[in-house]
Amino acid sequence: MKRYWGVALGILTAIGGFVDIGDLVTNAVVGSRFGMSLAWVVLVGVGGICVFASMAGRVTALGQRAVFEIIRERLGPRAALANLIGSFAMTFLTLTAEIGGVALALQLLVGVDPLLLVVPVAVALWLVVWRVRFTVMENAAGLLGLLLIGFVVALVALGPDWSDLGRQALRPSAPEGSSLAYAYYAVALFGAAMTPYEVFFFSSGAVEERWGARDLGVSRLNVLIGFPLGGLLSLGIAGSAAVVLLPAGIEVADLSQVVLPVATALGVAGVVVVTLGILAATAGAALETGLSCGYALAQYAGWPWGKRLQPVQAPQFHVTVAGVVLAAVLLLLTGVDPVLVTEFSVVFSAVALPLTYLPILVVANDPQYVGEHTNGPVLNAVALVYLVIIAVAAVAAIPLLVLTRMGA
Amino acid sequence: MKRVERRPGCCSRWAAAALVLVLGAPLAACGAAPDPLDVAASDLTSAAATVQLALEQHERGRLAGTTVEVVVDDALGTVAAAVTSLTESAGSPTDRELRSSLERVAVDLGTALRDVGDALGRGEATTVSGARVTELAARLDRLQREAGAS
Repeated sequence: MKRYWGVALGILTAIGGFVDIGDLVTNAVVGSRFGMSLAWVVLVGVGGICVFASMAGRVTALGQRAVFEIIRERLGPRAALANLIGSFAMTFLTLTAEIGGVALALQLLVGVDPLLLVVPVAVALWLVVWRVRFTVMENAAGLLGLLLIGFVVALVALGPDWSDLGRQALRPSAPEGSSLAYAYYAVALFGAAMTPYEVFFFSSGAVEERWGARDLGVSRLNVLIGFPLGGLLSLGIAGSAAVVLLPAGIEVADLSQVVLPVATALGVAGVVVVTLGILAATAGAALETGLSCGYALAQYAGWPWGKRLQPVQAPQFHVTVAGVVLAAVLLLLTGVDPVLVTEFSVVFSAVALPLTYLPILVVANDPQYVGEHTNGPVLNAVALVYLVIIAVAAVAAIPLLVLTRMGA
Repeated sequence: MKRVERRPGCCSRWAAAALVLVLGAPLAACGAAPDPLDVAASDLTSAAATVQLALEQHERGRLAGTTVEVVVDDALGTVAAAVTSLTESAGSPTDRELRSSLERVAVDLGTALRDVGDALGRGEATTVSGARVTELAARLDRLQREAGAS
């Protein structure tokens, strides 16, 4: 019974932990501009993160080493350093966006200027990293993140023309004169669904929780059931924006606009529920990105790492986590718009994705690391298709960003 | 498990190329400035429509005053950014005419939004200022179409 509960809990936290500020903002922007015509990108992105996370989970569980330890070992220190700099910068940008997202969600609840909330939010996050057990932290954020299901409930309650939404999703097409912007948001949405930190955290978390070969099945269930259901939350956000905001001529630029469809469908209670969900999702992702910065640097440098270790046992790791949280706060205190940071972070996620995807794909095929559990032919075929998609998205991201003037 | 030997070669070059892409991205992004007239028209229309929707929901008891105040604050930020962008933009004589119209409506919208915010802050009805926002939203809608056609 305990084992079934563990599996269910893992799946639920995977669902609730799937959405972060990047998914929230990008899906709402896309829904308000293009309706459901980019829903296929969410499906492709969910498939990609399932492939990526399942390979990373297997490599970690069998080798007892997390992503950056493997990357350094496999690529050597110089190439791995280049990899580290790119991935670390991306994860830091995402951390900044997530802390800003927590402040914006709190502003919706209490009406206080988000700039005043950034410092208390950061202190609270650091206290959680320092004092709360890994499993408690992960489960609490994931389970509370399930409140985002309010977006799906709102979509149903709005009573949309399902056949019209289905047509938009099944016959995707860019509005006239917006094909480049459509392509830009396709890349952004893909980057939001396949953020690299998710895999750093997933694989490092596997080491923190001491996964072994016997946990492979549970890990696979978490990924293959949890992430696709998490993708449904993303589609709920895009769908509710498509039904309410698109016809009203509202293009999402602020988090406060994202909850308006929920107000229309479910009223004040619905808004409070989804705002708490946004708070949990962004806070959970802020913890994950902050820890991921520490994981990546400590794993590359060969320092002791892990939340399970006291600061005195892993000082460099804990200083790194505290340092990146402080740096993110300083960046936010300049008055930079967290939503703008989010938009940059999802696009650059797409650019940085090959840095970690390719090494993990190579190692997942290496018997020296995974023994007999190398990728099968079907998984390899799918993983190679995703390698091509990831490469295309990475190469196209910056030209599209420039050509479309950030999707304008 | 044995430690695996480093395998240098194409991976190093691949990683270096990827790093150039990642670090070059922010530089490339700096040069990405949206067309001010189109974007300002679209942003102003969207801001007015957002406040209109939020006030409708507030009047029906579906959105708390605190949340509407945040929506109005955000919309004011959008209006301020649009006004700055319009002031700094240059353009053809036709564009300049459109820009002046947009600037005038943007200033009026800013005033109407502040009135809405003040009324909400005092816990009073937003009927008058809300109606003004609706009227400006309709004008912006027309101007946005002109901006799109120009």
